[in-house]
Amino acid sequence: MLLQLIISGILLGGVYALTSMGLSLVFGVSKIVNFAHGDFVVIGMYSALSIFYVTGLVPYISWIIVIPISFGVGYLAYQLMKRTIGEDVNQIFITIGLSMIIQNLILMLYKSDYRAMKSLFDSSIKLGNVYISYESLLAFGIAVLVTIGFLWFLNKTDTGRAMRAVSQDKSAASLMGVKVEKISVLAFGLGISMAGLAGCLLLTMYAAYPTAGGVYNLLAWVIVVLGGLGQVGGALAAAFIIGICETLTGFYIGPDFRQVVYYLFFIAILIIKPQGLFSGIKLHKKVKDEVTE
Amino acid sequence: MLKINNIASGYGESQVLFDVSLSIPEGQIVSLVGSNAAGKTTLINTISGLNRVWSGSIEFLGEDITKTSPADRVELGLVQTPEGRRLFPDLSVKDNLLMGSYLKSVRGKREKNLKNAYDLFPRLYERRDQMAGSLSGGEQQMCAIARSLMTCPKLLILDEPSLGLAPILIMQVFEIIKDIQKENVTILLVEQNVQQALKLADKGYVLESGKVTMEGTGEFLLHDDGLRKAYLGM
Repeated sequence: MLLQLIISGILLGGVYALTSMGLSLVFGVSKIVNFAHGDFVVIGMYSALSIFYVTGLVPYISWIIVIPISFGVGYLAYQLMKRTIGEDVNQIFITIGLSMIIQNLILMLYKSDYRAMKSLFDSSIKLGNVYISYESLLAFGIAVLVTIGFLWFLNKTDTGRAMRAVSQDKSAASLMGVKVEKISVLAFGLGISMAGLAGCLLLTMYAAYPTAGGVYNLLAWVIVVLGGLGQVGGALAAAFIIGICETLTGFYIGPDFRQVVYYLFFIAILIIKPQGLFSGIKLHKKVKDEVTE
Repeated sequence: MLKINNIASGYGESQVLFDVSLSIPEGQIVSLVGSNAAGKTTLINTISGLNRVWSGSIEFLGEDITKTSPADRVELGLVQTPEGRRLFPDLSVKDNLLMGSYLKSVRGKREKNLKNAYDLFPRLYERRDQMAGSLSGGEQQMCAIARSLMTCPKLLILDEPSLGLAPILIMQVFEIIKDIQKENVTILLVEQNVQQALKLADKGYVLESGKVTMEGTGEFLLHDDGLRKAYLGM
């Protein structure tokens, strides 16, 4: 049973990883403290739902359409937020406000009902004692694929490298000819696209409702802080920890306690290692002010 | 090549530069010296476009660039190696160098420039996969200079390249600056190391409290009594 739970946790973690890597990107590169990130996840859910109602395309296919929609939403949201860059408190207010606007807009358009997709598959894969549903496996597969693509982009392309550079030193990057504003917008749009994709995939496992964003907002932040602020790799690892944590408590203690347990875990980490689980693992020390060789 | 006409600039309410004019002829090394807080870094950040010009104008290669964005100035060939190296600490040495050839106009020469950079600084080749933040001070300075050269500069502004380096490395850095000049790159050298900077320079400017107080050939300034007293303790 334990193995079953851990595997389910990993599968769930793959989707959470998308959300939190997106948030990490938005925070690290665009320098926006985004408390509406979960609501962009929910926009992804409802986009996938609407596409299904209109065209009959299931989320496993429609994610290809949801990504550009989310990018557009992200672009518009950035225009709203860009004046607050550098003012964290204002950003928190504006993004919480945006979160309320999104939740109520969805409420207005779709009513408060829980909406779920009917399962496409009536069986699951059996590997020894472990059952894996096709839904979560497919969602995980797409999440892994996109994550690999994203990491490749970040590490191997000029634009990706510029994003990393901007997150480390904005003005030094502009001295290399990088148009910082353009990179910022792109990173924000990309981060929101990943949130939208996560929403699209989550819809195959969970129901959508207008205020679901609240849960994902905090979840994404917990993961990002656990992984070390602004560190994409750390967020990836932390997502799996939270995913496993969630399935274990869901089974051994009860589904209602899932959040309680990972928040307790979160608080414990903040007390013991406030810089995040993975931020200590750096290959270098900060070299500054040294006078001699 | 670069002409600065009566500029004023500063931060917020406080003015740092007052009516500063200077001109940098093509192919020369021009040194800008002055004590701490004289406004040297403010001046070159204004030249690079990181700081706004309050009044006056800047011309580069005959074009008015007073309102051009920092990125577009780089594209024109005006490149700065900032003070304190300002490498991207969590990027590898190679990635830092590749950032230097981010602009599409120089990407075609990337392979060639990278090879030149490694030839000039073999140490960087040895450390190419290491994080830039883990380099020693001297290596970081080499990396910062190499990164700027990747951008194919026409005018290279070096801000305090000798800062925090051991004397033997300082000599090395100044040798490299001479080599760069031979490659037809014009250089604006900002230094607190007054003697070395003026020895190297075709032309020098002294900046004090945001104003140019002296200008002349490097040789001339080096033998000026007032300057010798103020900066060289002689």
